[in-house]
Amino acid sequence: MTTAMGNLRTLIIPALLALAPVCAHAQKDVTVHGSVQSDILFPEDDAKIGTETYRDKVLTNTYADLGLYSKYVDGGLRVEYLEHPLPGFEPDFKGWGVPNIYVKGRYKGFEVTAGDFYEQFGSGFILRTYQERSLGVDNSIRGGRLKVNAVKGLRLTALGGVQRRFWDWSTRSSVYGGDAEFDINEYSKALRDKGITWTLGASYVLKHERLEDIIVPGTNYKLNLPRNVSAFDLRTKFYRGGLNLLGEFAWKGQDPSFDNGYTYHHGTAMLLSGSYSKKGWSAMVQAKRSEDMSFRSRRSMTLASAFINNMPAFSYQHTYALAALYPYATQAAPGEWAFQGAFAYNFARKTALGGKYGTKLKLNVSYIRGLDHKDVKDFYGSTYGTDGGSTSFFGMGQLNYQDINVQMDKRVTRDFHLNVMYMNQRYNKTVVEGHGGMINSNIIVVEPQYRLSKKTQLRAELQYLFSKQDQKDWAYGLVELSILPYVMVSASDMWNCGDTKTHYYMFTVTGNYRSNRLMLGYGRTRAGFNCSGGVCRYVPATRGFQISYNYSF
Amino acid sequence: MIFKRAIPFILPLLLAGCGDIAADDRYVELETIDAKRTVLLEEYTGQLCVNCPTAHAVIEQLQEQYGDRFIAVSFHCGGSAFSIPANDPAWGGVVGLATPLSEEYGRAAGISNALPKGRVDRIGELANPPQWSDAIRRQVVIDSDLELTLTGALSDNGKLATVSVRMITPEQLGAARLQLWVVEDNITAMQIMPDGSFNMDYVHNNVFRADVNGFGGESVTVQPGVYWNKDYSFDIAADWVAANLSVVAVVYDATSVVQAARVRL
Repeated sequence: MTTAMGNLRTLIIPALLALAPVCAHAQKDVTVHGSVQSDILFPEDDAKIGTETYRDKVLTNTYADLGLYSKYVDGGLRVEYLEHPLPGFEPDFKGWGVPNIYVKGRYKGFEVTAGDFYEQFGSGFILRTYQERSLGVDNSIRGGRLKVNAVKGLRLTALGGVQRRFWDWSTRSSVYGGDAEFDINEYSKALRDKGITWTLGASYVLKHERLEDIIVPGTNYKLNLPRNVSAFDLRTKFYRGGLNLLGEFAWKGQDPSFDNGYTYHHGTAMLLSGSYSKKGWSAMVQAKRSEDMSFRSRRSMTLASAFINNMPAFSYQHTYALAALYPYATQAAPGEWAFQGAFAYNFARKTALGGKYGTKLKLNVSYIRGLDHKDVKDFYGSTYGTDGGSTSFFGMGQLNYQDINVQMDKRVTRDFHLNVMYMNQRYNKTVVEGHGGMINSNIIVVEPQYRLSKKTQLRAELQYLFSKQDQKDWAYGLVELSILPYVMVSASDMWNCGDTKTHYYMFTVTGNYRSNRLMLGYGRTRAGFNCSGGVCRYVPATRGFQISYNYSF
Repeated sequence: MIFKRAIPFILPLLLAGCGDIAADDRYVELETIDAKRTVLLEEYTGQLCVNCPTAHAVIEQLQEQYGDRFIAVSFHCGGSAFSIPANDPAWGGVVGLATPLSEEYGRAAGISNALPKGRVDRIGELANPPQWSDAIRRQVVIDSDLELTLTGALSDNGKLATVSVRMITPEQLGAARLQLWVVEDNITAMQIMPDGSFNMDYVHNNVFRADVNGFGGESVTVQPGVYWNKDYSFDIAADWVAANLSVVAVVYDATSVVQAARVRL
């Protein structure tokens, strides 16, 4: 690891330094951009909500990005200070340094990147590297990437390298891949004349990983593990006049891992998506079936690190606090059948339902079930080395998650705006968190916004969650005063009025000035899962003073 | 033309990971080994941890394989564990096996919320159950010069336990610590199962109950060829079943466990 990092620094830091004279000589042609993000918590013990006991007085996740951009060459680096991280991140998250540094050169249709980079093939079924700071996810690849866009309608990508896992770039495993996307319409006048865009795509990813000894418990046998695991992805996208269609299929070779009980089953994923939008309304339907698609660069890894791929989430990502209380985590290893639909309609102004200013109505539905695993094989009482269970393509298992929500967005008067949401949710806590059974809840949200003056706005949120399971009912209230564009003050309380009678209060003051944003807050946060894109992180309960600072240039 | 020339190079790469390993070729038989020492697994578990019964099954298989050359101690701790004393009427007979002390051992080991985890002979990082077998196999073949014997007995109608520890080594053992723990088998208590169901009659074994000589134990120095002896006694708590109790002795230094032993009271 140290050697890989050292070599990279040896190569790239001089390259970045070499860019400096370019900046000096051609300031007009080189731009410099950067950003700083620092989230700080001064933690306090609070037995009522069950906070951890902290040795550190101050915890922070701080990131600083710097990039130089020119016509032919870009370069950048990121400093991360996570030595005393915010609560709930994986133990190996702790550390600091320069984990991301790169140089990118482009000429005509060619682009070469050396260093750390992020990439996604298709929907991410077989490759998606990305950074999501709230989850502590950064699975970037350190190595090289070539993108070729020299032939009309054809985009090629080839890459290879080792994957970041927190502060480790182990050469025990490496990832290679290629992607091709071809726009058929570029070679068909008939398609172009009809306004059709039709793309075909294909990807391939190879994971190479050193062998390790995985012994079948209680036996004298170890597994004959594959050094190389291949994955393919084929897709087609079609667009015409508001109609979007996508079909995608992925296949993964034998990839025994901790996630799948070291079974030798192939992974598969299939996605069908269709959407249509026209003035005043839009609709979208999607279906996905995936099985054994947990694809990591390290076969024995757990939690949220070392993923090569990312299965797209089929659950609506809510921003309202109570609607996001029970977020769903995509079940990549056991697999799932997932359906999602959305319908939006704008009732025009000056109609019966639209009123004077119009009304927007949205319906979102997510419905996710497990697969019908049966006939699970075993070898001396273990699944190790077997093909695992069998499933039928259309067979479905237990309900994992269901969300049906209706949202209305209504401007009532010139100064008064109202958002209302009703949501029915079924959350299988056992599947997502390992225990807790099915939690059925109904949630109502009312969000009025009132413009007091041209620069002053008052916003409130009233939410209530009805449930007979888990901690039962919750209530949430928020009041927020904005003095545009500089200051925003808010006070909120999330109250478990069911079992625990606990208040999770929060007070914040946020200031914006040019590219600076500073938020000061004090309050409690509840223990629970923080999810983004179907990937979740457990966040323990906290109380304390918070500072959040963002700056970009 | 370029693409045609590249095919011979690209094709093997594409096919590198496509070959399946047939069912008959997935297992490699290992050499038979002679266990030369007793190996300790400190397991971190919880009654609300859906994967923990699978880990318990692994422990049972390892106990069957290695007999008294393998000792497991299960610390109930973390977000999937809870503490409810036996016979608490408010909980209708539900027992939570975590204690403040087991939580403290969990914290000291650096557990997060992802259970089960375990560490073999205190070497390396916390590991998942699939990695335990290999770690135990590596450790059990390493000879230990330290001879550690335990004898234990109950007295006062099963209310008092006494344990005698005896150690001898041909070379001086310095900068080591001796830790004594009380563990209990055959505890019937609730456990969530891999299918999400609650098993109220689950039998928990190797459950950490208390330490006999303090958190982390005590410092010991054993002179070469000279027996080190010490007797300990402790009260049997009201919610323990004396007949199911054992004492585990662990001698460890800064890097690993030197030797371990277990005696049933």
